[in-house]
Formats: sequence, C-alpha cells, structure tokens
Amino acid sequence: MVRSMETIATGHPLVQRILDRVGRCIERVREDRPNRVFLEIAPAHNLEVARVLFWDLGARLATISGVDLRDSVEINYHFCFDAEHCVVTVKTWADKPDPHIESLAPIITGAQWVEREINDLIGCTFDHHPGLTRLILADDWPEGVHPLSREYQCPLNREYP
Amino acid sequence: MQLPTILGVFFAGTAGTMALGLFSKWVDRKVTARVQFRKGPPLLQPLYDVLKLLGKETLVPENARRSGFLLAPLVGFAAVSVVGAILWYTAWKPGGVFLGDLIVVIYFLTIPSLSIIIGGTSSGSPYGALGSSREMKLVISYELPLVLAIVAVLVRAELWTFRLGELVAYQQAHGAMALHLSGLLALIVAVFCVQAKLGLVPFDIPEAETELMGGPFTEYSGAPLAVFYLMRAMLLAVLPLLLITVFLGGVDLTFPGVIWTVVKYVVLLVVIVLIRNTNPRLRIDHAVKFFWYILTPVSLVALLLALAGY
Amino acid sequence: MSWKLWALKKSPWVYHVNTGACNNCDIEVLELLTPRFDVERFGVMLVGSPRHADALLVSGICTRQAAPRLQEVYRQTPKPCVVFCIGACACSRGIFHDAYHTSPVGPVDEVIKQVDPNAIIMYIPGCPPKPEAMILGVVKALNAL
Repeated sequence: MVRSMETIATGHPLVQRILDRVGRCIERVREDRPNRVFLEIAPAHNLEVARVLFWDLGARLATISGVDLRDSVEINYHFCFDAEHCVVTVKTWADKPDPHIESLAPIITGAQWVEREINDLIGCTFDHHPGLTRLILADDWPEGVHPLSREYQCPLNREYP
Repeated sequence: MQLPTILGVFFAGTAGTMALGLFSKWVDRKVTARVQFRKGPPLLQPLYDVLKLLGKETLVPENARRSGFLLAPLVGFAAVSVVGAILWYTAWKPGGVFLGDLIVVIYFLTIPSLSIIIGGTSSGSPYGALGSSREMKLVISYELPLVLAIVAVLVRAELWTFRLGELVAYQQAHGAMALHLSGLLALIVAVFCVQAKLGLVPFDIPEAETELMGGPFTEYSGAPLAVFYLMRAMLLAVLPLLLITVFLGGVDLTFPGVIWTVVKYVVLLVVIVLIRNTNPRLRIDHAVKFFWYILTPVSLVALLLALAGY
Repeated sequence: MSWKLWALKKSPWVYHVNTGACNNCDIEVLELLTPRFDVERFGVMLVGSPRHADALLVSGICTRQAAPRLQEVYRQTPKPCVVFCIGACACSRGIFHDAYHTSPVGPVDEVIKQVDPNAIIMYIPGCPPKPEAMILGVVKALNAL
C-alpha cells in the first residue's frame, strides 16, 4: 500500500500505470524533477517489481548501482522508458552485516554481470544468481575485501622504491 | 648465355628493382599524403625504414617453426628478384631471354604470396594463422583472372611461344595491346588483380591492422621484417613493369621512348595508389565473390573478344 | 653515433598500449596520428604489432592485471626501443595515486624497470597532453638518444 505520495503537481502518467499493477509493494514515490521517478520498495519485492517493469511495461534495465550506507547497502535499479522519455529508479536495501538480496538474473539476463560487479566491489551477495564469480577485480586480489565498501582502508601515501 | 652474364644480370636486376621499389613506395606514401592534404615523408624514408629494421634485434617466438619462419622472407625476396631480373633483361635486350619466360614470370609471382602464407602459419600465433588463411583465400581468387587476362592478350597477338620479348616486339609493330577492346578489358582486370597481389586496400584483408594486428607479419621483427618490407616494395615496382610490358607497349630504355615509359609507370602507380586511398577494405567473402563472379567472367569475355579478333 | 641509432631516429614506428586509462590520452594519441599534425613527415607510423614497434606509447595507471601484460608487451618489442609515458596517470598515477587495484610495483616506469633496469623512458605530462606536447616529447627523446 502506498504510504506517502510526494509527487509534484504534474505527475508522470507512467507512475499511475506502475501503481495500478504493483502499488502494494511500493513504499514511497518521489518525482524530484520531471521525467525522473524514484520508487522505494522493500527488498522482498524487488523481483516482482522488476518483472512488472521489464516484461509487462517494456522498460529497459539501464544499470544497477550500489551504495554503501553505514548499516545497509542500498541497491538502485535504473529502468528507462525510452518511448515515454522517463527514467524510473527502484531503490531497495540489504542490511549489513552480510547483505543478501534476490538476484534479477533469472528474469533479466543482462543483470548478470552488473550484479557480479556489485558483489566484487561492495560485497552484496545475490541469491540464486547463476554464477556469482569475480568479474573485475584481479585474480590475486584477496577474497572478502571489497574496495568500495566503507570498511576498506585504502593504503595512503605509498612510497615507491 | 654465360654464367657470369646471368649472375651479373641477376644482381643488377635485383639492385635496380630494389631502388625502383623503394622509390615507388615513397610515391605511394607521398600521393597518399597529398590526397589527405598533408606533406608526406621525405624521399629516402623507405630506405630509412629498411635500415632501421635491419638494426633491430630479431625475436623468434617460442612455438614458431624456426626454419619456415626465417626462410619464408628470403624465398619471397629471391622470387621477386628473379622476376625483376627477367623483366629488366627483356627491356634491355628484347628477345634475349629464354623460351617460355612469361610462364616463369607468372609462376614466380605467386611465390611472394606463398611465402607470406608460410611465414604466417609458421609464426605460432593465432593472428598469423588467421592472416594466412585469408591470404590463401585471396590467392585462390585473384590468380585465375590474372592468368586469363594475360592469355587473352597472347591470343589477340596470336603468339604461342610465351616469350615476353616477342610480345613487346608485336606491340611495337602493331601498337599497344590496351588499344584493342580485349586488351583494354584485360588491363582493367589485371589492375584489380595487381591491387590484390600487392596487398593494398580494398584487398589488404590479410594484414588488416584494425582486426588482425599484423596478420601474417605479426611475429616478425628486425631483419626478416626488413626482407618482407623490401619484398613488398619490389612487388610494387615489378608488377607495374609487368603490366607495361604485357599491355602497354613494353618498357623502352632508349631515348626518347624512356620518357613515355616513365610516364606510363608513374600514371599506373598513381592509379593504384588512388584506388587505395578512396576505398574501404572489403570483407574476405566480398572479395572472393568479386573476383569469382565479376572479374573472371569479364576476363573470359576479354578472351572471347580476343579470339574473335577485336 | 652508430648507423642503427641514426636510422632509429629517422623512422620511429609507434605502438599504443592502454594500461587502464580513462581513454582521454588515447583519444589524444589518435589525434596525433591524424593528417592535421602529420607525424609521417618524421617517419612516425602506427603499427599493428609490438614486434614492429620502436616506441611504446603507454597511457594509464597500470592496474594489477595490466602490469604483467605490459611487461610482456615490452619484452616483445625489439630493442633498442623507447617507452613514452603519456599523461599524468602514466607518469606518476596522478590523482589515482592511492587508488585500489593498482599494481603494487608502481606506476608504468617502475613496472618497465622491473623487467629492464636500463629502459629508456620519456615522460609526457598533461591530462591529457596536447598532440603538440607529444611531438615535442618525441623530438626531445630522439635528440637525447
């Protein structure tokens, strides 16, 4: 059920179509600028919302971004509706320590590598991912060290020989 | 002919072809530069390139076949030298070369392409193998139209002795072969085949830098690469000379015919370079289809016209 | 001066290596090779294989994965050769000085010196360096040889 609706006066017509289908999963809708919609959902519903947006409404999954907030990892799914000139971002979170969230890879194949990258750099694990292996860090990089997480301390002011 | 004469002719021919080849390579780069609105390299630049390559170290990859890798450039260089020697001798003393030298020239001109193929496959690298396979497909395609074009000219001149000297004498008596319709068609076919043999765009498919790094030449460095560079420069000199000898009235080294010869040579070279600068590269299947479906029928038409006497 | 070195100065063939750059320096190298700056007057030609090259134009901070590959490319370049570090990242890593995932050996010059302590390395700073700056760097390097 939608708890609070903070839309500007001219809300995008797309928002109503999304709310008609998955309104009960969405906790908050924000539209700060024209054509830029932010939907906040609970992590348990990410698969359903993604299926509706990608398969039913015909959006394009542009990318997935991850942010390390101190006590949770925020995952943003960016869906582009090219015909309506609108970008819809679905925000959800995964609690630390040991963040887990359901993977989108079974329904959207293009999400496979993006989720591997988020797993490498931030440390969020994606359940039911077909192959969650190392993607962009080197093979000799130590296991369990995630460079873009808050716990990682970058060695500063290295002196070269 | 005595052995010292033969050796003298061979070395003089090689030296002359090398000088002419390096000059032709400079003409190629200068015309390309002018077409692109810039100044080009200085006159001796190809010579500097060869000297620089001779001064670098030669690296042989670990899983390359040493013998094939190092001998391939020398074999190609030797073949082009022989062809150059035959053509220069025909120009100097028509009728002085042996019977059937046109066949020898055609056969020896396939050897540089074969040496590139052997060099590429013995490199031990996937780029070399891929470049060699493309060169093989290209060689299968362009050899037949080239031979048919030359045979069309021979049929028109009604010469069955395959002597280059007699062909030149016929042209000096009856006018250049390109003035007849069959000769003109054969010349056009031959220019395209020469473009492919030289490895110039639109047919430089084996050494496609954007796709294949260096193609068959990827693993070559130092002195073998210098020999390959010289071989390709000499091909750039020998093939227009062959075209002039067979189609355009023969190379005339006596004054005032030598001025005409120089004009013909430079015009032919500039035509080849301009084709190179104004066309994109073809894909290998496009090139094979072009040679088999378009040029071979045109050369067959030229052969039939020659039989009919046009 | 030996004839080998003289011929090398007259005809330097270049090969471009990117060891983890943002591609800005790569675009400037590409512009260097366009007809506007006409480096073919000096004999400079872009070649498709490091085995044909005399000068390596290296850009990028040299990441962990790129370091052994850059060393392999350097070994495949026949000596004598010059390494040009193009841009602030290749000279000293620039603003990515403390970044994660960079090679522990050091920036590009340290990685090359690990293979060959006597390597000839030329630094062309800038972010990205203008093609005129690159030409000046090449001229200075060739004069210093």
